[in-house]
Amino acid sequence: MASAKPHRRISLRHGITYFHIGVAVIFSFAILAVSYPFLDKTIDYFQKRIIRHQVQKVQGVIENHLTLSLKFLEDYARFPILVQGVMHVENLQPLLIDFMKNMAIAGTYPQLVLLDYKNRIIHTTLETPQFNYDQDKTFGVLSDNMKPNTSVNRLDNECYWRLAVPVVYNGHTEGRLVAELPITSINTNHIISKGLNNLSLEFLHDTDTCFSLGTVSSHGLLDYQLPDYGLTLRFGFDSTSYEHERNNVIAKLIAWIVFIICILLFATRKITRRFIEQPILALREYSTALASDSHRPSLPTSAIVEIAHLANDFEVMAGKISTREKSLREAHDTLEVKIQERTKELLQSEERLELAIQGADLGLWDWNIQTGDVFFNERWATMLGYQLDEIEPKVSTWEKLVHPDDMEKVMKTLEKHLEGETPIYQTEHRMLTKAGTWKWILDTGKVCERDEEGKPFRASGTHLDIDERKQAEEKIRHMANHDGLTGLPNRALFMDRLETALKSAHRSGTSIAVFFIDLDGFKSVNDQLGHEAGDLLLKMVAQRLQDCVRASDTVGRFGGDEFVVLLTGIAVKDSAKPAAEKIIFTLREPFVLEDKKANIGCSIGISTYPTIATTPEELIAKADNAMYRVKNAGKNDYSFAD
Amino acid sequence: MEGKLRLVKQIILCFTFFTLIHVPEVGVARSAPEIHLYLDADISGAASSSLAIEQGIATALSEVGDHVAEHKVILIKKDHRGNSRRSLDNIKDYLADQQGLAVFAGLHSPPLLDNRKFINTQEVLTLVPWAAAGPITRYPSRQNWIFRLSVDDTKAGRILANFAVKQRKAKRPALLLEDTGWGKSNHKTVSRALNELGVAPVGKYWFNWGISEQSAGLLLKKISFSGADSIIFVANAPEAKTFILAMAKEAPQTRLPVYSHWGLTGGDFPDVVIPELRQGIDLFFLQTSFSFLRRTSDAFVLNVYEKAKKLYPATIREPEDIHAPNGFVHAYDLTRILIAAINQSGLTGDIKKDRQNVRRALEDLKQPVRGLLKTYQHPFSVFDELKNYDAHEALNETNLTMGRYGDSNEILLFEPDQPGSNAN
Repeated sequence: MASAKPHRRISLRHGITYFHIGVAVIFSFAILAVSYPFLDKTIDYFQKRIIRHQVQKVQGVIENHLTLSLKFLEDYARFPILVQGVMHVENLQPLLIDFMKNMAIAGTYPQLVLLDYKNRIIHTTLETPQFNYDQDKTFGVLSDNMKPNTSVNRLDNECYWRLAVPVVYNGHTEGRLVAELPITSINTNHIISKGLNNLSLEFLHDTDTCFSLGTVSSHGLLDYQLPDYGLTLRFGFDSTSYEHERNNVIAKLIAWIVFIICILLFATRKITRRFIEQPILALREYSTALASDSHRPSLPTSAIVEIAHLANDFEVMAGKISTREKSLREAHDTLEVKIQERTKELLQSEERLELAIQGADLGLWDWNIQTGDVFFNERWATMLGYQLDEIEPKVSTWEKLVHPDDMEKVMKTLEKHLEGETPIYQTEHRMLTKAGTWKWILDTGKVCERDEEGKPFRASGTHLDIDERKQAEEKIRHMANHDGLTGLPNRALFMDRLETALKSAHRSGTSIAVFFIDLDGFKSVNDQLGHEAGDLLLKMVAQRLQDCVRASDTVGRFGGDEFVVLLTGIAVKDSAKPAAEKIIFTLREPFVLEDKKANIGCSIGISTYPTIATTPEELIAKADNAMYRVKNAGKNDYSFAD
Repeated sequence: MEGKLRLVKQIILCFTFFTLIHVPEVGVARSAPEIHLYLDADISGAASSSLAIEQGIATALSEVGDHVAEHKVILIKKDHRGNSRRSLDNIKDYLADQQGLAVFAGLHSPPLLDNRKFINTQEVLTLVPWAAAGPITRYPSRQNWIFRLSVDDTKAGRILANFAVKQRKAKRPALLLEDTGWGKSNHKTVSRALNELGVAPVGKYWFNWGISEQSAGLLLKKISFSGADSIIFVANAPEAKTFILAMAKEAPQTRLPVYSHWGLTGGDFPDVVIPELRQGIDLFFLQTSFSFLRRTSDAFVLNVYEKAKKLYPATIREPEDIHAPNGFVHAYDLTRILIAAINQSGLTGDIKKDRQNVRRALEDLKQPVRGLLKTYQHPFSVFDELKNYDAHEALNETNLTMGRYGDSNEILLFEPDQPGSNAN
């Protein structure tokens, strides 16, 4: 596409003109090229034409002469004296001889011969009758209806026109009257004056020259037969006139070529203009007018069938286009109305959504999965304490803010949804706020576009601030698992933790120790100092117990003055002894209760895993039993269960 | 001599008989020696005359079974078209023919006149049944070879003059003649006859052969203006046609009666100058005084007519069908005379001798010969320019009369008492 050159454009009129000029030039060259080798032939042709013309002239002169002479002779042949002459043998009077002597033909007195029916001479005016007519086979025998006859004959190096007319009696040819005219008797002046310049002319009879006119030339000799007379006319050109003729012919040839080409060009120009150019221009105007849509022009008419069809097709096409345009416009208008309606609906819907979102206090995200771009709304940002323009609209923004502990769970859920395993993506996770605190968020979303292969293309969803709900839930859960007075895990939580620790110890092969602690002397405190002081004392005991163990150890309160301690990761049974002794010692220390002192002690039963018991209940029960033995044995001591 | 000759003939006959048996194809040819009779006439130009002559000869020969003196007679026709040169060539053909015995001439006198010397010097036995020129039979020699049984112009002129002056009461006849030897001889005889009758012709007008109708018309006008009351006309058929056609175009009051020599009957005159054209023209012409149209009980005449009819069943059905009856009658009579002469002289086989013998026999016929015109007693004799001028003329003035064409182109002989004879 990029390499395509722009087409050079040219108008039809110019194109046709150039075409014509091109054709004319090629044509001229072609004619010249073709005709040049034939130039000599052409010259010959023209010369032959000239000679033919001359021949006609000469022939005309000869024919005039001979026709006239024959007419004279035929008139004579009807003279009764001649008729009787051919009929009678001995009655040839001196009158006939005189008559023949005086017979003039066109002002001349030719040699005349009267022949009988067998071509025998009856009388002749020739001094010595050299011709033997009856021996001359070409002269022919007599027949009725015979025509006057003309031939050329030679006698003593002189050529004669021999004219013979029949002498007829009673419808029969009985003899002939023959005139022997010297061949020079024709009006040679007339021939020369008729344009024999530059030409020489020889009269030949049996290849022998009878006589010649003009300077006899050997150049460009051309013979022309006059078979009626047995005569050959030999024309010649002198060399200068030949050259002149040649140039003349070339000039004529070129003139003719130019003339013919001009005529041809003119004609073809007219024809192409009339039949191609004008119809096409008319078509063009028509199509332009159609295109400009200003008005519907009249259909151009053309004699050319194809162009007429084209025009007609144009007409049909224009009709179709206008119909389509109309229906398209209608469709467009309908669409426009629909779009407006839909836009309106959309706007309303958007408004409603916005309202709903605002109402629901939702943060919006719209994630282009391919590019990683995410659209966040204002609420999304403010939910985390940011301004919208403070956050980069990328999915990485979100990833950075998700709590690392929640990350695994979130990604798993997300992947499951993206792979189409779940119809919806929904997680609750914490996100870092601008203030550096964590906030619980309910993140809900859905892939809304997938590509052809089913890969997710776009997903959108909402963030809901569920921090308060989460805190409330934590509180409820804490309250269910902890002692309300001391905040220590209650029996349910402690048992839960114990079970977890057992599993862990089982896996790790470590030991666990459970202390069942019952306070000594608490009842008296409670009775003497009141419940409030008792509750305070219990709080203080819980504190001192927690201080006595490691953070990983759990202290719990089973109710009243019963406390439990779980020690994990101890080596042997005896490793629990220091802890038990420490607790006993710590609790012996007096408690200051609002300006009053109170002294209590404790009895501790100890069970261990796996040496004493293996289940939580068994551990508790064995430790409880061991505590009771301490109680019975004097208090403030500890004892291992059996 | 005769006995010996008969013996020779018998030997020849025997020989031919045997050759007939042994060599039939040769025998046919040799069964009878031939003699050839030539008819040298203008067959194409004067067709009816030559046809009539031919028919006359053939009819006469048929009477003897085409055999004379034990020779088969063959008639050979030659057309000279009225051209003396052709006639001369024909005569030469005859001379070269070792069986050519005699030549019948035709209608035209000029060939005979032109070739008269040749004929007589070369001994051409010539029989003339038609040509009328006086000099034909008057070759100045005792060895005259031309015999005529026809009109003789030396007498014809007198007949014409007599008819014009005596029968038709002509006072100022004009003479219209062809400018030939024949015409000139007629001019002499007619002028002489008129002179004897005390009538001078108002003028004499010559014309040439092949004259055009315009020239003929002019000539007729000239004659009419000259104050002539009739025309004595000497012409052959071609020119006669021209003149009578020209006359038919003239105003009726300017047309003069025409008394013509018989030359005009030789060709197709009545076919060209049809009865309608002839209607207003008073035309008589010379004829010999015999006609088949005359009622006759003569068995000889009837027999001849029947023979001719049998011989030419296609052309002769009625007597009128013989269009140039003179030619027929003269040729018939002349042939009968020839047959008689041959029979009298006999044939030797030497043609030159035979020609001479027959010529002599003609001049000295022992037996009379019956003909249609008359019975011929010594029709010919030895010519002598001074003493026997008509020696070779078989007919005389009493055998001549005038005739005219009937409506069916038949020739009706003039009868002094017939209607129309007193016209004018």
